Amino acid sequence: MTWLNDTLQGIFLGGAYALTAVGLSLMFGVMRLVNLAHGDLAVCGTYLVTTVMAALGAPLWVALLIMLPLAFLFGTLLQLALFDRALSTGPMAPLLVTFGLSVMIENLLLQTYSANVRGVPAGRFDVAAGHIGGLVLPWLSVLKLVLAVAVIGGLSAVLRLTAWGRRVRATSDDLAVARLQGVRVRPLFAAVTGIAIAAAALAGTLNAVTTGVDPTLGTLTLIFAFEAVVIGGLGSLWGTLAGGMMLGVTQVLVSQVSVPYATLASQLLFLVVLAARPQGLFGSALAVS
Amino acid sequence: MTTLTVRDLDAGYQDFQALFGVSLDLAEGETVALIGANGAGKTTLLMTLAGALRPWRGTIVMGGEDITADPDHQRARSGMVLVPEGRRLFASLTVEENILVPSTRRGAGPWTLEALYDLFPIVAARRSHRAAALSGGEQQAVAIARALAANPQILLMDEVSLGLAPAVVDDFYGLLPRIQASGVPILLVEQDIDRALAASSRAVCLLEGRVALAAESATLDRDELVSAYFGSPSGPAAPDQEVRA
Repeated sequence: MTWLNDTLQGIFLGGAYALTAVGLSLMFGVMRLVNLAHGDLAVCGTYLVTTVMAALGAPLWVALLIMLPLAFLFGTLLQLALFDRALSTGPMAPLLVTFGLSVMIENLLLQTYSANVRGVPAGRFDVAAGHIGGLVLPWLSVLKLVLAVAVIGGLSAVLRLTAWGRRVRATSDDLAVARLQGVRVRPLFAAVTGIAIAAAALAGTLNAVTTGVDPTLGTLTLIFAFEAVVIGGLGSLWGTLAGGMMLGVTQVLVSQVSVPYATLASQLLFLVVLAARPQGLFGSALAVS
Repeated sequence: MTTLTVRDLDAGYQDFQALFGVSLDLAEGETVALIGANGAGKTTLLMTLAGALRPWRGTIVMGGEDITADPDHQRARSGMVLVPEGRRLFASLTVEENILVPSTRRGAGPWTLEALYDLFPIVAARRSHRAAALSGGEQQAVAIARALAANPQILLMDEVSLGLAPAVVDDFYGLLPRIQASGVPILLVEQDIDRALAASSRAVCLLEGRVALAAESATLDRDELVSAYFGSPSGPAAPDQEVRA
């Protein structure tokens, strides 16, 4: 029963990884842009939430509702002002630009908020849990998993079923021809980045309820998100969910044997998948060639 | 009535100039064949008209409006639609999704989904297949249907018979009159000169980026065409001479 429960906790952790990674996966799938500032942008969202909570005395969910549209807006502006131009000059520029952005964000946060770890108070919600037999259901973890499935399912449905989604997939397949067929790529990319950053900021904030947040958390966030994306298969959203879960389950199961080796085990999993199946476990929903 | 007026167009890639002072007109309901040897600038001209390349000099006027500065997606929305060389379908999309990609915000036209399926029964039969799973001929039909779905003001067709079996090419040229009957002017790039001339009312021959010959397709003088196509000392395309179409 403990093994079963551990696996369940690993799946919950995987949900958190997947929610963190879905934006990275989406941006890569649509634009071939690896956003190295992804984790730092998630951390920005978290700091914004703590600031709103402190300033207004608002509860977490109110602060989240204020932060999410701002994160979306910030993502669209970032795309329009920075990433579009980087993308138009070849594959190297986006890496450099997002890496530079990552460094800048980290240092700005350090300047503004100091290096101290901040908590994200969530009332009693952060430790509340339900029990079914020997299985523990920490509500916050359940929420993250549900949100991960909802965001990925919702995005997949929008991509499959709407005219906008059709244009996104067409652009992902062949940018030049999509433009020649009248697709306006700039607003489309801007919306994609907006969604990606909002999802990352949501995930970052919910994760910080458990771990707290500090300015350097972004790098670690990026590493796990990146691994989830690569294990699942670049550009595949459901693959990212599966990738996150494999990471989570591996980490929790190994931590039952030896805690120090838990993180190492998930990195080894990443290495093995990369060596054996570089394209990731799942074919791409967005048809990355 | 003239739908497309191109004047003195220079265009190229980085520091390589591919078009030199190209001028041509396309009238309502007219099909003009664009012929020329490989590297003569046919595809460059089409890409420049479609907006994928910015012209270095010259003007492009469509329906009385100067669209020279418009970006590619804007041109497509105004009705300048390209069937690209090599078909270039959206591989992961289904056939029907491919056809539905072009924005139809410009308003209705003759080419509804039903009309397209009526024109290309094979496209209707394959509507829910992935575009990548289709044969070359089927893909070409989808590529043309996708372009028509935008209800173009001007249809640019680049090498539609490239790599297709002769019977499939026959099928396409059998259907072309039905597309022409809708009134859309067509600029047709075709390697097979006999087919190009048979399908068009006028022909424009490019030689090394310049218009070397422009004439009625039916009365075109073969010798003149040969010298315009291959270039010859006696031909009309002296390097610094620009011939208006």
